[in-house]
Amino acid sequence: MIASILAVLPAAEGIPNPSIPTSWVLLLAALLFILGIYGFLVRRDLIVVFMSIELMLNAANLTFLAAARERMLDPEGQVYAIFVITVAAVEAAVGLALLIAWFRLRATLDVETAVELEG
Amino acid sequence: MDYDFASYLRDLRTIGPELILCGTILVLFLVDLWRIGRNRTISWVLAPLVTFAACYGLYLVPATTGIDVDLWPEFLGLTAVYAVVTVADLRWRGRDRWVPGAVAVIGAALACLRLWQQGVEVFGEGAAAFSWGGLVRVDAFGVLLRGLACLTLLVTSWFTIFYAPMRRDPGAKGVTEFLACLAAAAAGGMFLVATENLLFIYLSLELLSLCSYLQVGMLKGDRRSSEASLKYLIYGSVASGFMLFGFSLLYGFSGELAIPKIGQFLQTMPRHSPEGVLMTVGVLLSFSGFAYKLTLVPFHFWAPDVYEGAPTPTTAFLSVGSKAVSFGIMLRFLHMLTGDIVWAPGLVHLAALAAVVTMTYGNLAALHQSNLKRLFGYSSIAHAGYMLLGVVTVFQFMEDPATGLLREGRFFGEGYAAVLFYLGAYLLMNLGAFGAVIFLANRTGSEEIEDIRGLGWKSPWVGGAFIVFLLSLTGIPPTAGFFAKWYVFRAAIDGGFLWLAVVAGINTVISLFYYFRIGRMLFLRDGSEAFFEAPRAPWLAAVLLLLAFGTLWFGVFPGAAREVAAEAARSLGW
Repeated sequence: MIASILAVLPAAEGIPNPSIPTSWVLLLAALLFILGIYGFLVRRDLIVVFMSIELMLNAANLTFLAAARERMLDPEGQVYAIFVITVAAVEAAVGLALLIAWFRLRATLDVETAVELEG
Repeated sequence: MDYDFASYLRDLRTIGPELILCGTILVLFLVDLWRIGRNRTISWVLAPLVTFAACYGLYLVPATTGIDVDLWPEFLGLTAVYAVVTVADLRWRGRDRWVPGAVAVIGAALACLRLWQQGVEVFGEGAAAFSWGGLVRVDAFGVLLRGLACLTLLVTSWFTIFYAPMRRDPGAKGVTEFLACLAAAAAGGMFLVATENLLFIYLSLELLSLCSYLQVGMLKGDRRSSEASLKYLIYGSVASGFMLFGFSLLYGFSGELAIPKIGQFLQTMPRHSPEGVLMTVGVLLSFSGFAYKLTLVPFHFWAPDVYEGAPTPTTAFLSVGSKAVSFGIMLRFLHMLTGDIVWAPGLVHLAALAAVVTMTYGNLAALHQSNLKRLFGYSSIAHAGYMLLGVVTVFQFMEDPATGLLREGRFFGEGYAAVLFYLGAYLLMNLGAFGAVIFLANRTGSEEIEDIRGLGWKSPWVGGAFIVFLLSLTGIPPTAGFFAKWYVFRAAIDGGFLWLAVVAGINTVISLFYYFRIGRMLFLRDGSEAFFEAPRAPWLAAVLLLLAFGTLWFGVFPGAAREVAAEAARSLGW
């Protein structure tokens, strides 16, 4: 299974001395993504949940950059990664603002206390 | 490079409505600054100067470049804002909390006007035009959905003026920020349906989402609002992470960011290779991001909580505007799967399953709700299921008589047209329903169904309008909701999904129970009616009557709207 996934992309062409094969980078990205989902599902602290989400975004970034490197440093993929970093920063700002509003009302960051809206 | 100033202006013009919304946000904050000082010198001297300078700037563009752009609506809008703010400051000072709302309404109306002009140009042309180097696609489909988002903004800004928790807010603080978020979210939604580039889709979807999170949490000090915003933010970020990873896979294997080019790549690549499997994963992950916005099961769990905790105008915006543009981008996305006979059947059956589960879950869960907004949250989930019916039927597969294999996926535009009609009808009836909730909650101070007991007799006009919206949501003639359901069901039957139409019909009957419960409570006369005195809101009631009239109008004469929807569906390019 893993071998077949690793064999998906041909070896990089046109890039001087590609030291790390693209498929390895993709595998790392997939692992990061799964790690992010795991953290989101398991952790209870809201800050750590946010960090897990950032991990997922960065997994996507890594995929974009690896694919861009594969295609002679295609600018589209690299620009995409820069935009994603920017959006992630904005998302963190919005998230922390809402987190502070939440903390002021409850004095805890435990997700398990979010139970007032049920039914 | 022949990209001169004239083509730059032409490009600017294609996103004119969105630019107007951005300008509206700026003006909103300027007005807020001005009103904090409350200084009459500013009112009399500085404000006319700023307005005049802005008008002169607008005038300079055509005058100096010699290019014929007509900017009179913008002049008019600026002047109207100036008049509203000054007159309110001098005449109603202290009771002029409606000013930010009025400014947002003016901006939204201006954007709607510009979109209308674009629509007049685009409809009947057929071919799509591109601007910004292919980033923005101008076609009838996009203009129609942008119009829906813009109309939602117009109506929800109007609702915000009357929404009691924000009126009570000392000094009307926070209202300006709220309206700015609303306008930015609408602009994001409008960009979303005006493009087919993955980067642009991601950015505009994030603009829509981030501003929605902020709106939901805008009732500072309200524990439910804070909880709803955090839930929405966390689930939403995860969903957008899924979608982004899907995009990165699509880009990674095809090397393209434009949806049609990815579609071409999909048709030429080997299907059952690991590459093909990973592309399928990418497509599915991308769809999960849209499904989240559309509250399709199993991505629905945020919806009831958020709809209940959010300020009611936001709830209305999320259930109508946000949903319309998300459906739009999903339909555009399906574009790239046309002609793909290996995955499309599987995806279609997955969508059919999602439609059945979504509508059934929404309707069953709505049956025993006590909170009006929560009930409409579940009802909104159910309606997303009905709309998905139209999406399911877009591909038809013909069996090759010789080999017995599925031969060709033929596009079936009826389903898309039905979805677009449904979205328009849903805008009228659901915005109306939420407006009625605001009206009634202002009188009782509560959003529980029990508390609207007998209020229909006290405000017969609004009560009557509410009944019209409820009938329409159920799908009873002569309302727009009836024809919306009729078209969608018929598309499902024509597309070979008779069983789906039958399930949807049963669901309609289930929904009758909870909509009827609201209507019965509204006109219950058992001596225990709620009795509350509240300031009358004739202007809110007027908009509700207008929406009710629209609901009835399109229930009696659906033909023209249906034609518009069909043309928009054709403009997608099949």
